[in-house]
Amino acid sequence: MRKIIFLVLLACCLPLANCAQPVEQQPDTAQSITQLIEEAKCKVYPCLVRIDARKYVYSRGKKSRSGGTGSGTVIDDQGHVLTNYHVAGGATEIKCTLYNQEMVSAKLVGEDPWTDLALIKLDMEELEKKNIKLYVAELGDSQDIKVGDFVMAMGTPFGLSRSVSLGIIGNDERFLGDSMRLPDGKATGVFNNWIQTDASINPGNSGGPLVSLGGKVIGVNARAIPGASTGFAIPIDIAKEMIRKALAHPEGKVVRSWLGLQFQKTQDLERYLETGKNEGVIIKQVEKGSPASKAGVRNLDILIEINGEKVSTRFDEQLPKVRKTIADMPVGTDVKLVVLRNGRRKEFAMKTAELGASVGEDEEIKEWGITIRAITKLMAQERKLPDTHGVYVTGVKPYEKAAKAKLQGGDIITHIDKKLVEDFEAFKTMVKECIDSGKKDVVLKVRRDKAVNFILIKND
Amino acid sequence: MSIKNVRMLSAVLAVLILFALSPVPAWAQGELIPPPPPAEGEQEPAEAEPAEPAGAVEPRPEITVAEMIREVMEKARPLVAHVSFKIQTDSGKSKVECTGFVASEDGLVIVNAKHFSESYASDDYLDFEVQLELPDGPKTYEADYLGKDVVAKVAAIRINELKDDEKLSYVEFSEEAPVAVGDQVVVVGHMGKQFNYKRDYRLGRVTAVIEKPVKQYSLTPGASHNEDALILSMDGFALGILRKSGGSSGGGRTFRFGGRFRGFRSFRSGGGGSLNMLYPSEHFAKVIANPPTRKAEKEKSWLGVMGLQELTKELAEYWGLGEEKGVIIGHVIEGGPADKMGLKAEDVVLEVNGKRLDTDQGTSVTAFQAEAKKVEAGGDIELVVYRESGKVTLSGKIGASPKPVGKAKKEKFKEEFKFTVRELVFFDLYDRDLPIDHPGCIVHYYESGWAADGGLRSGDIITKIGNDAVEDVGHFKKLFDAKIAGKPREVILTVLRGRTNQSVLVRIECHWK
Repeated sequence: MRKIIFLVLLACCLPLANCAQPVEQQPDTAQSITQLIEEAKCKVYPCLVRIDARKYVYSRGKKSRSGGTGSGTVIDDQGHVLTNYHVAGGATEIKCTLYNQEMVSAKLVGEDPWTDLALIKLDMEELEKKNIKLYVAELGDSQDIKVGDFVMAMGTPFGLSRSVSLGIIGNDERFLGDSMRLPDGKATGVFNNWIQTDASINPGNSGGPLVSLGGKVIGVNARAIPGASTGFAIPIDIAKEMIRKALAHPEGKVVRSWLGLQFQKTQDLERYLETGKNEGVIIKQVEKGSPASKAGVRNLDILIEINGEKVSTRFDEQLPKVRKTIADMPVGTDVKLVVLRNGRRKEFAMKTAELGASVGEDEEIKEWGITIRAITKLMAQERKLPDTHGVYVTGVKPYEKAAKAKLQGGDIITHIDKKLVEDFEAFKTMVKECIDSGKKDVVLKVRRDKAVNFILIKND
Repeated sequence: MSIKNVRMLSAVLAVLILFALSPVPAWAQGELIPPPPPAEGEQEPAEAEPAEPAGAVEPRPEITVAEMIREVMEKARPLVAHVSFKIQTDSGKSKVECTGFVASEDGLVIVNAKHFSESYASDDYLDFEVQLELPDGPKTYEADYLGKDVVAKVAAIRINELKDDEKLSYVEFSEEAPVAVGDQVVVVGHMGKQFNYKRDYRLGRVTAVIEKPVKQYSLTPGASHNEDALILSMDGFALGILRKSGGSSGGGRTFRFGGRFRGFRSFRSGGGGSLNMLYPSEHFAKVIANPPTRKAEKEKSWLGVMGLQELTKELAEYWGLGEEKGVIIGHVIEGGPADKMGLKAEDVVLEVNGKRLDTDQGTSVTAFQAEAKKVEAGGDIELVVYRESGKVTLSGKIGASPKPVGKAKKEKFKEEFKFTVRELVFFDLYDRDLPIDHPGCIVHYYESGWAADGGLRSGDIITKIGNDAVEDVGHFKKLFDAKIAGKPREVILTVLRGRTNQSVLVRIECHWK
């Protein structure tokens, strides 16, 4: 699995903020920079771990194990290690190599694909048994960082042993577009901007800390443009929030609110929209069946207030903030939206719903030789499905029953023997019943693009 | 060794045996060019009697393979045409060069249909030129596009300036002697642009006969050429045209002359695995006999169903349909002819216009399509279908096929804006689940200019310009021209973008001089 997702950077530079302010830890001389690097390195280096994670992947009709290497930082004395979701998310077996090259087991305790962050916990008993002292890194405040600050990226690039690279912060609120995806297809990066740096970030650096010269972790390295000395880190403030929420959740998840709105910036459209220069955000889509849609909000309404708070999204860089304002509300919060429609003010009241996963759970149906995926609300929206019934076939294993019956990857199984497949769990139960009952033939009704297709699976 | 391998090996050995029996041509012995004919003085005495034993069969006329080949080449010279034409695209005209052949004395020329895409209308193909090598030297004629036949996969053009008494030599097809493995053929085409499209003759041998999906013959790699080349038999009869088809040659065997097994070819070089196929004239004989005419371009009939599935024996049994044969309808397009007559997804069509679909040849799906195609647009159709309630008879009229993109009305905004919009066609709207009568027009093409700078993209459906709703492409042209006549600072368009139809505002900034 790839450790760093490479992407094409489309966003353009923002005017740099507060360039003129002097920065406390910035060195005066060559000698002092060497000293600061050394000190910062000494503070964080012992907290750096190499992570070897194994997880199951479901593709081509079969479940198989896949492994990858990334980096992480020990963030507390209970052995919690912060890393990327794309390093440890969904992992079933994790090994961490510590500063002294000793290897210790860990388990996944929290994950959040939307911010591409994961939290793992070292096996403290094993640490004790091996008599290894744990060092904890200090987390900084990403809101205090400045463009031009020296930073160090630490990690295990290409799975090599621990390394440090030096650079500066090139941009402290980089916007990387709306449609970023993780290797497993999950949507990510919609609630935060990114710290851009020229400190070398390579595959294997993922999950490692971006460290200030003060020796504090200010970001989690996650992405890079290959060969362009341009890497991106998730601001540590976003990570701190994720850690707090994931640790408080029984399953280590981050719960968010959802209204079903997609936004467009207002830059240079103010005259046409008849709005103030820093007023509102354009609603480019109201998702079908969402709270906002039910309340009557329409495409091209201009959202100007959320619960009495003014909204301003003149630039792309401000989009994650307005999305986060909605997402951060507890699920079920009463929300009042004020919009402008044809120049008139309109108010809409609704309750937030829970933001579901962009991509559903995976499973293998070994008896038929297929891998399937649950259909989430967001997936149904994207694929223009009428509802979330059925399961999505992610792959078909050659020569097995389903392949012989000509089931195809991308098909959506909606019925088994004329009975509606309500959801993913129901499908698994129905398949088990079919197999256990020893039924000879099973007919699946599938949706292939817009057409219905019938697939006869022979169970002999 | 598997049975399949043994069969392949025997086929190749058969080729080699044939090869060994036929007189070894000069080129097979390493000479690239057939030797020149002997000078007059050196000519061998033709009268010399061959030393045949008494009672031998009638002697064949003495003719070398090289001479045979040269004869065929000479015969082919005036028949093969270098055809060039232009396609009117949004970014200008693009030129196409290809090989064709003269199929009638009054100037019918047949070319490969692959040069004529569905994306363009017939009128977009223009400036046809046909260059022939006639006995009195090369000559270029102007020509017109007649149309193409998608089934026969050839297109027809006609030379339009033949003088009254001018008659062209045209290809002859042999009615006997089908092509067989081992037969030698002459391939006549043209070289590429870098060689100024020089006429090029090659030799090939038939290496395999392929029956499915349509009859074709595989040729030796040496026959490799530009597609469209004309292929002639050693008797000088036209056999068909050359087609390249992708096919794996992995696992093939490599032999030395003499037929000794030399080894297996285990690798297939990337992209180089295409086969030279002889696409025989039988596929397009009808087109030559009855070439398409521009006026006769009929509206294609259309039922408005998609995702057709064969009712297999197992599915029929499962549903208690016994021995019935039929077609399961996957999707009925809303508002289409099938929808109007009451056909529904999951219906199983058993009969079309009184004909059952239980043909012995092909599938019920092909039989269904063939029967439906027989009805012209506007004609009556009756279907017997099976649905859960039992057998139902549905009747209605077949419609005309929706307009293809190539025939949609287009408007160009060249100047500084540099984009083209076109009429919304059925397929644009179907794909996005928009109603058939959805207003607006669609961005067909854009290049670097003000519209692109403003973020307009191909596939955007423009629904508003400023605050004015756009009805159709003509209306958009009117509104846009009126808007820019006042040289505004900006033009704001409302567009629907992407599969999920996001409403996006596009601001085109204008920098008038």
